[in-house]
Amino acid sequence: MGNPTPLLEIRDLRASAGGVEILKGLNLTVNAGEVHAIMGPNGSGKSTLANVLSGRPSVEVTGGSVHYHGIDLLELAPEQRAVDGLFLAFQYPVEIPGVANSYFMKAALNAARKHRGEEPLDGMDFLTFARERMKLVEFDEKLLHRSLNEGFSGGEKKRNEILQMAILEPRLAILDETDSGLDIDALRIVANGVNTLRSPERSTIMITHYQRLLDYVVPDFVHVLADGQIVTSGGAELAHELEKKGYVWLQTEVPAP
Amino acid sequence: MSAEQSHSQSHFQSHFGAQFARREDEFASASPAWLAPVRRAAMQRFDELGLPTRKDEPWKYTPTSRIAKAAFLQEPRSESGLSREDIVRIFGEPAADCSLVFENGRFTRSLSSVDALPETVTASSLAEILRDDPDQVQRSLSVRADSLTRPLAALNLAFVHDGAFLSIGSSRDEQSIELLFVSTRAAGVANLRNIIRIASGANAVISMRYASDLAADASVEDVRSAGDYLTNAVTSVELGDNAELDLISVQNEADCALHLSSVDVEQQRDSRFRSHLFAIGAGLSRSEVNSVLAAPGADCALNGLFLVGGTQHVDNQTVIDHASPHCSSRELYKGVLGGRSRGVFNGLVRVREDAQKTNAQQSNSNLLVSDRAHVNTKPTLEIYADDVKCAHGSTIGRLDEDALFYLRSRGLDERSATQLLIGAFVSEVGEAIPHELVRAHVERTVAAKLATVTSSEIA
Ligand SMILES: Nc1ncnc2c1ncn2[C@@H]1O[C@H](COP(=O)(O)OP(=O)(O)OP(=O)(O)O)[C@@H](O)[C@H]1O
Ligand SMILES: [Mg+2]
Repeated sequence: MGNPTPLLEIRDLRASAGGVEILKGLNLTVNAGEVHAIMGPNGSGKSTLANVLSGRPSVEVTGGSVHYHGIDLLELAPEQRAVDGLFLAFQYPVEIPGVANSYFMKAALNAARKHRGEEPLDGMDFLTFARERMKLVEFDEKLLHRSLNEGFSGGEKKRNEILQMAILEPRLAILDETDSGLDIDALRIVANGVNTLRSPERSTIMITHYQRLLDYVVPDFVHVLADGQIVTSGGAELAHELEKKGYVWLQTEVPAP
Repeated sequence: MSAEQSHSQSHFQSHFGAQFARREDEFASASPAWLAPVRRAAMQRFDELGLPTRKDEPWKYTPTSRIAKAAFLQEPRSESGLSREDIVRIFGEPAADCSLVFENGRFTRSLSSVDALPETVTASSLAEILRDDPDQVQRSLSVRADSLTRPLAALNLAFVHDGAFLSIGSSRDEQSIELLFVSTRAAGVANLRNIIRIASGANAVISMRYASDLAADASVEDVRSAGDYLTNAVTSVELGDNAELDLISVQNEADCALHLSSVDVEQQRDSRFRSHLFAIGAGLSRSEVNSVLAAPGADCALNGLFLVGGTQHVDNQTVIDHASPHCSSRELYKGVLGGRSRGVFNGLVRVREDAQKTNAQQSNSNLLVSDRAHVNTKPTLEIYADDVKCAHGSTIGRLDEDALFYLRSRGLDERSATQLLIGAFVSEVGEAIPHELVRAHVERTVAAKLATVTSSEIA
């Protein structure tokens, strides 16, 4: 099968925020169709990595490169990355009073459709499509007609992220602790959303602290990020090991790759 | 005061003084005898007061030199050759049962629709009333000169000649009326005096919309040399017992306009007054809304939105005077400022000694969408009664970077995301307009302005 271009290729990535270096030479390759899990202690730089990939202006890339299906991702504005199929489910989704959830999602979908040269969906067509997706993630339609995330419970916010993912059908989805704080039913729904999207063209990076999610969505690879670098990588079994022994075990027993 | 400023101010005064002397005869032939001494006293009062300067507290942040320097060379011709189609082009399709059109400060009957009015309603021009039935307005215009504290209101009274006269009697149906003011000359003064009376138990929705159509003006090529034009509008509103009025003011004049307007309201028992003010246009504008809650049970809501960019200067002044017990008021002004624009909000809520059981809420929040824009906000409560419930506050903020990033990360470009966030910030002001057609008009005007302000912020 030769050696196809990876969907995501991160080389020696360095990034800082607020004048502090957070990512310190990070390497990661994700091929099309793969599901990767990234675990690691609090403050190790997982969300910072997600932010760099989605283009948050407040994080400054100071070195290295990121290629997304062969193109220089760091050159693109956040919205260009989004319409090109990159999606970040935020660890802390923002509340935006006064912007209707449904309007926002329609605008997001139509931006992507425009990029693909497709006609925009009108209100009715969008609603039909959204209803189908809402079923998939057992989403209460009432939330669609409220202001974006405003007053949503923690779990509702996470489901809203997954609904957006289901609607936008990204090529590369990055889930930043989407499983944190969810009860078991919600977790199952999130996992279901990810599994439904799973295909040979699409890839997912799941940032998580818990093995629980990985029971539902079995990853192809598990990486451990510590102090701004990937310090070890392995298969799904690595997550079990971590769950049992904690991250301290890494520093003592596992040699860097 | 700089020497230059004082020079242009005295020029301004002598200019109007000379014009007043020249036009006194013309005024005398078109107005009742009792108005002549009122005019003269008002002119004298204007001379005494002079143009305000920045030393006058309510004018602290607004450069009156710009008003003084303007070259008010000619009285504009009133007829501008606008057609009904032009009016629709400028203001959109009619949004009310009845509309009065004023060109350069003068009523144009041929462009107005005042035919379908019920008997309980009089909608006419002040010039016609002064000619045909002046007794109707004698009380409203016989203002004692020493009670005039605002120089431009004094000037307005000295030159009073036209404006809208609306008298709404009680009926089962709500009346909706539009007053459309259009300026077609990039020079001169549109001096407008509107008198609005809502009788006991009556109920009305009145829009006042100010616009410019300078394309019709041959001299518009050199607007700069022609100088600014001035709209000086004074509106008095009387609300009888249990009367109700929604007054929508949309000021969307051209950049070369100086717009000065005041709305002075007196509210009787159990009356309800809601002002919805949109200050969007004009190079320099100052909009005053003042309401006196003169009898128990009166309720007043002042909503406002100022949305400006470029080098616009927008000044908002409000006074809510709780002069009786058991009245309530709510004030919400929002400001959005882009470019190098300047905004002022100066709101006073006064609760007099007798006004026990007053409930007053006042707030002003502002969004700066450019680093070079600036706003001064001063909400003030002056409370002399002891059994009251009052609160006030103001904020100045910038667009939430996290919200902006969230929207962009979903594919909305920076401009759309910015517009969406500003739109969300301002939307509640428009949503408070009860009349659907009027609301739609206002929301379109606001959206168009929003697009200009954001597109100049985002290259
Ligand atoms: N804007 C900033 N200014 C200063 N420090 C920052 C900034 N953003 C992140 N950091 C710091 O960088 C480090 C990495 O943060 P990051 O959010 O990436 O961690 P994380 O691995 O996602 O942690 P968690 O598991 O708690 O979500 C933390 O120490 C954090 O405080
Ligand atoms: Mg994190």
